[in-house]
Amino acid sequence: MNVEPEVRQESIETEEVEKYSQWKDAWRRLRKNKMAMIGLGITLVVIFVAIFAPLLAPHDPYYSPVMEDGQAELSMQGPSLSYPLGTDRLGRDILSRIIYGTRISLIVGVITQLIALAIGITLGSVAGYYGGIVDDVISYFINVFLAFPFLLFAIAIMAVFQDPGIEQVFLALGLVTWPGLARIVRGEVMSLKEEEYIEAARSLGAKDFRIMTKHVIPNCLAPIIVTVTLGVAGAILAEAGLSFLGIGAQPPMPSWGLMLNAGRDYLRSDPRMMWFPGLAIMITVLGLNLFGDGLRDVLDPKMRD
Amino acid sequence: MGDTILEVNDLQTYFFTSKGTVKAVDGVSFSIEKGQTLGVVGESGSGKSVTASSIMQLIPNPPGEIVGGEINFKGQNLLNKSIDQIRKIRGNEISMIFQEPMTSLNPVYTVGDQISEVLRLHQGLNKQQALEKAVVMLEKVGIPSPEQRVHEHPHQMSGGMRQRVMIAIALACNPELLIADEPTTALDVTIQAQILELMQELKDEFETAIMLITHDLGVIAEVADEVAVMYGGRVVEKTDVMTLFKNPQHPYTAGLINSIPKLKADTNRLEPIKGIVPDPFSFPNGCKFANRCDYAVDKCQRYEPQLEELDSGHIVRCWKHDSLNLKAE
Amino acid sequence: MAEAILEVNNLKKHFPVKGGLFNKQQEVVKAVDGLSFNVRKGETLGLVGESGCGKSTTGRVLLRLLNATEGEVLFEGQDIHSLNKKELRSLRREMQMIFQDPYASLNPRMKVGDIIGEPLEIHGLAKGREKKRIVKDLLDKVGLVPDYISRYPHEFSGGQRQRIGIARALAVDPKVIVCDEPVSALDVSVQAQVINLMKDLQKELELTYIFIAHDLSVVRHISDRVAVMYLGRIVELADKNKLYEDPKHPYTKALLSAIPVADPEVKREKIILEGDVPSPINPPSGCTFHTRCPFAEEICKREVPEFAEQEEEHFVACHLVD
Repeated sequence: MNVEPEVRQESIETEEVEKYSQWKDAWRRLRKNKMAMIGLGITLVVIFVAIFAPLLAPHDPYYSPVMEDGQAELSMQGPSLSYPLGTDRLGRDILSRIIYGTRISLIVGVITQLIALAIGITLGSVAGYYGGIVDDVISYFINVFLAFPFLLFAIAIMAVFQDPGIEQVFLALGLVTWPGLARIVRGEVMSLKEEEYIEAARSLGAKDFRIMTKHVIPNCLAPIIVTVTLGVAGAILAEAGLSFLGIGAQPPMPSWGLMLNAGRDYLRSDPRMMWFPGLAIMITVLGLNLFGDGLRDVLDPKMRD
Repeated sequence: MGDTILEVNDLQTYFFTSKGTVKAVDGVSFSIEKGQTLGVVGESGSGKSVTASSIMQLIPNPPGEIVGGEINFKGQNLLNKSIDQIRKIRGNEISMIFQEPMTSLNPVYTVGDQISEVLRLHQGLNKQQALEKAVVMLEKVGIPSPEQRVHEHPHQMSGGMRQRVMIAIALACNPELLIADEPTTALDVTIQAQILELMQELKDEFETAIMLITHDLGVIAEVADEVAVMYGGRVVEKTDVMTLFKNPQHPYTAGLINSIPKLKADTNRLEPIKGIVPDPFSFPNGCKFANRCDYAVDKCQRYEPQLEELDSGHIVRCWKHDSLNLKAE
Repeated sequence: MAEAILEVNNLKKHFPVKGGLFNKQQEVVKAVDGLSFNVRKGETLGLVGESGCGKSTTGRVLLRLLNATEGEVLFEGQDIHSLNKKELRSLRREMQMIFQDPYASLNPRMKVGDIIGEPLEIHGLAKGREKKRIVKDLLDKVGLVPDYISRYPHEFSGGQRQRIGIARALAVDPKVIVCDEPVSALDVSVQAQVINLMKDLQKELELTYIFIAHDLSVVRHISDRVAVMYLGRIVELADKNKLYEDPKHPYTKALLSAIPVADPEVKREKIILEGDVPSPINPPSGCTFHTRCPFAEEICKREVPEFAEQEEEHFVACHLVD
């Protein structure tokens, strides 16, 4: 044994050091950020609504009393006790459609970002880690993709599909958002690979795959999380835009964008039909953006200290 | 001698953080006379750099704040002065050089611009005069062909050159006090030797008082006249450099001296100080050094010793100094 | 005399500098430019020099973390720069590294147990409970409490982190450890603790160290032999006492005289070198030190001095020494 008494002493002292981790610390600082907490609150409510939509919605969002039962008097009803936000042209309950619309928006946001993550992390980390010609080629693609205006590009992709639908929206928006993510991952990886612990892993004999998955990517999670949070908001907006234009979700889906589209004809006579879905989009996107901005402040080391 | 430039009395600088109050500097007193070099030694967390920043009033607020004490510069308490008055003193009568010659110069201006700036600001020179003086200063700090170098940007210079430029800026207005915070730590030994020699020459020429902050006892031994040893935000021992190395009275001072490898003696084993510098929240209640001290008794854990003057100018903060027989090899 | 465990012959590492508008290779940084030396089994060879002298690059080329441009590194008679990927991975079990920065060299997202256990996992040496047991033993060996296994690096001080780095290097039971400035980032009082630990471990585990540092007093303390590097070359190599007491090369002399001695009574005649270390991109001709050497003569500018054994076991590369 070569353990010196003084060394033991040293060990005991740090026993008192407060348990601390980066995520806990981030959470502590996030809690102090009022706007971020409002954003988080809104986001949680939206998620809650999406999950429990069948329990919360007073009516079936697809059921049209006008078409199916010929109750023409239920068309375009103003707010009432049984239809708190009124009904649309087909007599469907607007509140129920907005509640179910939450599901569509969130799913679009999440799946789009998953696609973007899969492509973005893979290409971004490969480009950043290997550098050289691999990086040149991938960076070239990233730049080409980034050169197109976001929504225009999505519209162009949607135009390629014969019959647009929500699945095509996932794909189109995923393809449009990955380059931004890839660029961020690439930059992170490029600076991370100079870290001494990466070299240490190499000196231990670790293979590239292990270095990437165990050492590189876990250390660039923070900016990825921020980008994805803001990306979900962007995707929700974009889906609403595409659906509004009629090349996204198709009727009778209770997509918010589609509802805006349907309300367009009544903009002057009955603006309520556009207000409510518009408000739903605004609140959801605002919540995600506030939360994402707060996360950025807390997680981005360049903003710290 | 006897011409006191700076007198710091019971300085207290605290940092108010979310985890609690850090008493980074807690009751530090010392003075520096004209033409004298005071060395301040300590490890990380000893409060030596915060002391320097406090004198310059460069403490970021929040979280930091000077909560007590006096900083008398030529008889006037700097803490009572307005920020405008302080700005007139900074870089003019008191200047500071930092550890990192790479980051303390602005990369977008030429070195000439940066030296001229202080001259124009404090001495009201016009552009031409300031540039001429800048050339003179560069020559003084030993930069070859200063007429050309004055037009170069910091990135065109090596680390040693940049530190020389920093010194030129610091000395441009002929300050009465120069605060050097680890001025050679980032430099190689041969360059360090050049810079230390330069500081020595300049001190002799201008009779500048120097406060030299370092963790390197070798540097202290070579250039300091008086030495203050800091630990845990306090001065634990202060005396002239000879006495400090030959007759240290505080166990921490002796520990520091014994834990560095000697170039001459081929000792087989170093005698480290046990443990580590505690984090700022977990210093002991009594003597700050008690938990690392080999001689600590119950009293040391509970009550903090006061500074005690042994003989002329040798002060120490230790309960047991008279019963210890510390040796420094 | 112990046999050589590592033999280095005319080792070179040049980095191309991409420059200019068209990405043409124009210039070359000669970071390491022709090193030849042996490392003996069980010894500590100190490698000192100022920043930019190539000592860290040398350490990395010795481990083949960087590929050599020229020359060979023989580990137990086998040239490591001729190994294929698989052979190289098994070499990693024989030669390890301790890094300079205890804050940057540990992955902040991994627990101490996973950091130290990683080499065991990579080489398939131990898993599960066996791995845990070995990791705890290693923690104990480097003077840390074994229960620290589930903590993160940021919960430790610099000195403790450096101990974790040492434990990680020891996990594969290596024969040679390249130590790249292992104590220069630590507080003075903690430096001594880590140096003592490294000395103890060397004795106990019969390790061979290559100790890279810029602090000459630390190097003298821990090394058996010391090599002094300047601009990619070794200018002097000898037993440490010989080198420190009777330096032959003017650069070694200047370097030694420049170290501040922690003793105010010692007033030495200093040799203060003029100027800075020249850029390794276009190093001076002949002896690369001639631009700063107070004794330089005509021949120094023209011819590269031979790295020759001037006295027994005392190698010097200087025209003026004989």
